[in-house]
Amino acid sequence: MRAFNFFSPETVEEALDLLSQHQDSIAVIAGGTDLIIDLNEGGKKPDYVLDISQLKELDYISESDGMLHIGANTTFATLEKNELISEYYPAIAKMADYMGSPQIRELGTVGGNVVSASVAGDSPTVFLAYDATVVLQSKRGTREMSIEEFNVNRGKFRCQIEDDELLIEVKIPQANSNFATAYRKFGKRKSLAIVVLATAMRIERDRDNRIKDARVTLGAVSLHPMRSPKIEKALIGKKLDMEELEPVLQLYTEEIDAAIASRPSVVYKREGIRGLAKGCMMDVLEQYGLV
Amino acid sequence: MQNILVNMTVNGEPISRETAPNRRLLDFLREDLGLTSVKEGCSVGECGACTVILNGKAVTSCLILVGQAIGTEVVTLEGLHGEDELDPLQQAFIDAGAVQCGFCTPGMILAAKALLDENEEPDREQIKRSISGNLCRCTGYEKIIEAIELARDRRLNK
Ligand SMILES: Cc1cc2nc3c(=O)[nH]c(=O)nc-3n(C[C@H](O)[C@H](O)[C@H](O)COP(=O)(O)OP(=O)(O)OC[C@H]3O[C@@H](n4cnc5c(N)ncnc54)[C@H](O)[C@@H]3O)c2cc1C
Ligand code: FES
Ligand code: FES
Repeated sequence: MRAFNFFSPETVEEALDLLSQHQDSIAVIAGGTDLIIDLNEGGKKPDYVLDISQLKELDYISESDGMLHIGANTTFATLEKNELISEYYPAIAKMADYMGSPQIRELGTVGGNVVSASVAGDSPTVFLAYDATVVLQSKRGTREMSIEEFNVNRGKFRCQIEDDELLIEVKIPQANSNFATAYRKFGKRKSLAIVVLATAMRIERDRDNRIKDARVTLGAVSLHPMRSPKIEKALIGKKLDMEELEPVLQLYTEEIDAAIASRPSVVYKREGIRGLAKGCMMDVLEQYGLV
Repeated sequence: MQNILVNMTVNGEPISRETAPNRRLLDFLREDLGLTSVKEGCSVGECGACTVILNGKAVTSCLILVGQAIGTEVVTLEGLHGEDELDPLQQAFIDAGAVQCGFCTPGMILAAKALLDENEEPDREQIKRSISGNLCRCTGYEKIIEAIELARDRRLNK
């Protein structure tokens, strides 16, 4: 590992000062489960490493102003054990349950996952379905943007973060009894399974148990997770009943064909996605008490 | 590069050492403190051989910078046994025949200890999940799971 100076600031303010001062050659470290591999293998060679893992200010899960706020330093283990999440945000709970191994869940943070924005990452697909907003802060000020806008490559990052910025939190519209959310993924094996194929959905129902609104996302089929307007449109207006929903599975296959037509894995993924999508539909019906 | 001062508690003993910051907790424990039960297998978080208990949680020490562990409490396998008595988990691993080459054993025992310290009576599924980040190339896992069940029962005096 190449030499660097190490900072462990005690407050976000101090961290932002250091970031602004050394922005040309500084790397932020939270859980370290992505960054240390890069440092160790020489993929990244910063002159300074800024440890934010001790910043309790960024470790919270709370509901306010109609939003669920997840602080950047929240680990996947914390998500997994949080009652608010397990009760009202089933797709986030599922993502935490699927992610990494016990050791990796203890270390890995939401902020690190979102900023890494890996093709094989879990949270981008899930947060896109939840219509998430990211909050970024630097000495210059605070800004917010949708996860969709955020997930566009910029310079050395696979997202829109600037060199002097910290990701502060991810926030999503608060759950209510008309929302149901689901997430399913394929990984290489149960533990340590980075995503090979994934899909998430957030459904909103009307009084007659018809689908009023739908957000459907597909993960690991393009540079960043994508929404499928085609599937969403097909779902809207449908009765919440497996027989009515099942024909939509064909559209998932068509979306995979369109996204990765030339890749050898398309033959598996075009079939596999139907199993994942059907699983999501079952989860949704179950959450509504309709099975 | 400026050295950093590392104060932490390791196996119950306070330690204070200066070190370069571009090192992992794994390197510091093995090379500076001589705690060679902490094994380096894959170096990328996948095998669990480097598992230690940090502030009560099992973590992979190959994915922690030494500076990030300042002020923490670390337990390695060396910290488990008493003067002349093994930890129930160590004894159970011997009794159940759960050790072959032994390379995975420290990490397995520590992952299991973090589980038993948090949940006195885990079921088989919970035990399997707790060691799902630890690879063993010898035993086929069955005996390891049995050993953890045995330790669980002995700890509960069953
Ligand atoms: C064995 C193994 C299994 C894994 N399994 C999975 C899996 O199943 N699913 C999955 O999605 N990922 C998986 N990962 C990847 C990784 O664990 C996750 O991406 C994790 O969430 C990263 O978080 P971290 O806190 O460890 O990030 P770090 O490594 O600390 O940081 C990652 C990147 O984000 C930046 N960063 C971190 N926090 C902030 C912040 N607040 N503001 C600005 N920049 C920031 C860092 O500078 C760095 O570029 C796995 C990794 C390993 C080693
Ligand atoms: S050496 Fe750390 S997990 Fe393999
Ligand atoms: S006993 Fe040899 S790797 Fe587990």
